[in-house]
Amino acid sequence: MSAKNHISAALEQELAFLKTQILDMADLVGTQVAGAVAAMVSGAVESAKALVANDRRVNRAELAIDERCIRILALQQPAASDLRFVASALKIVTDLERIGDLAAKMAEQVPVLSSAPTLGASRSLPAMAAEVQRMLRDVLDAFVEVDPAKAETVIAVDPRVGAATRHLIERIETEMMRDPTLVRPGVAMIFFATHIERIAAHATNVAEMVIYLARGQDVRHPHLD
Amino acid sequence: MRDAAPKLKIVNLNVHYGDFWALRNVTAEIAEHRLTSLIGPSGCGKSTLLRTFNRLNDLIPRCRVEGRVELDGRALEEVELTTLRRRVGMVFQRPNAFPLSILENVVYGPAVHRMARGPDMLAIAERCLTAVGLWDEVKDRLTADALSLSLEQLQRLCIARAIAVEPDVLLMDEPCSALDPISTLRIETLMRELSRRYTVLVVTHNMQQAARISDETGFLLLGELIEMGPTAGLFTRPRDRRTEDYVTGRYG
Repeated sequence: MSAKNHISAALEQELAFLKTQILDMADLVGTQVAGAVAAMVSGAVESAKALVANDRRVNRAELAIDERCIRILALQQPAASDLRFVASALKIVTDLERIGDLAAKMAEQVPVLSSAPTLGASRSLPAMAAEVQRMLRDVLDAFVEVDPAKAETVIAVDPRVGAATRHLIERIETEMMRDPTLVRPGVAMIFFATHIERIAAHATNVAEMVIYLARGQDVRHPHLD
Repeated sequence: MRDAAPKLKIVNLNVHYGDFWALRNVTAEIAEHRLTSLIGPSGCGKSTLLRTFNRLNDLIPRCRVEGRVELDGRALEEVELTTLRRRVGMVFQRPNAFPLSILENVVYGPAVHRMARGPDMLAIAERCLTAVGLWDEVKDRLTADALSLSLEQLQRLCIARAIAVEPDVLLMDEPCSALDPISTLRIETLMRELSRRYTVLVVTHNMQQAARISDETGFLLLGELIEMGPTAGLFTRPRDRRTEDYVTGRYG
């Protein structure tokens, strides 16, 4: 995007508001994910419940961003990088909303996890969660700075998270087979881990949108070319 | 289509009005049966470029044109001027109908070029007025004064007059800027239809219009052709920063 300002003060302002709204929503979603992981680690059932309730705020933010995007498209007819910005905002917001949902679903598993015996596999969960939270932070930096190279580093991390999740699930399964009292928390933990993996996938989607925003190049489905 | 020989071609075109350097080393190709728009801020040279193709700049005192301009591979200077003006028609910003009847306006060109006579003239009028969507509205009053028509009808009449001499190329200089939005959309639809039979080159101040109607768009700035290419590309991911600034409204 250009360093120059728009001649139209209204468009300049609308785009600035849109960017702020996305960043606020991303902050909120990041806090939700961090909260869910912290609640899981500490077994904080009450704060997990608050997180589930907080998802309404994420949903409200999504609606407000959608509305602004539609209004900008209808009233300002943005072009080139502005158009790509609004188009990517419309897509990014969906991924952020899903990440919010997943954080709430992670929080829903906390009561089961905190009341049952602990699995050995649970020790590797915080590291995996931390990696995904780093992906989220990096992809938002990439978005703010319109930095496609940084977005590519986020995309590169995704397969590693997938492999870690598969490995973790195998370990949980082994533990469950050995000790049936671990089935309930084991299943909850598989849910938890799978949600973290899905968050990584949504962060990857956002990264792909950042590349589109920066270069006007769609990198989502390379095998279709 | 893009591999076919270009209908119009310019190589290293420079135009001066006295000391003013209006077009600077412009090189471009205009494909046949495509609608090409030229956009850019006032004074960028887009109308000058348009007028190069029918040598209308020759009429301007102290105007100097250097470089090569081709129509179907032939240099424009080699084409006899009345032939050139027949093959390259022009439509202006304000409808410039002659103070004659509707019929006389349409067949003015064919009469001058002695392309037809008598009943054939009527056939030409019907064909051209039908092509511009005016026939049903005026068929019962062909001898009425053309200036009794609405602005949109007048612009349609001028387009009918331009195509009556069976040109290859239609140059349009801001053809909708005197029209209301609904008339504009109707004329734009007509322009799309015309581009199937003619090579249409449009100068417009209205970027959305260029985006809506054209296959190709060229952006001029300070006499330079900065970028030219498929319209969707130019409006979604322009290659040049100056184009980006202009289409996003950052030009200053």
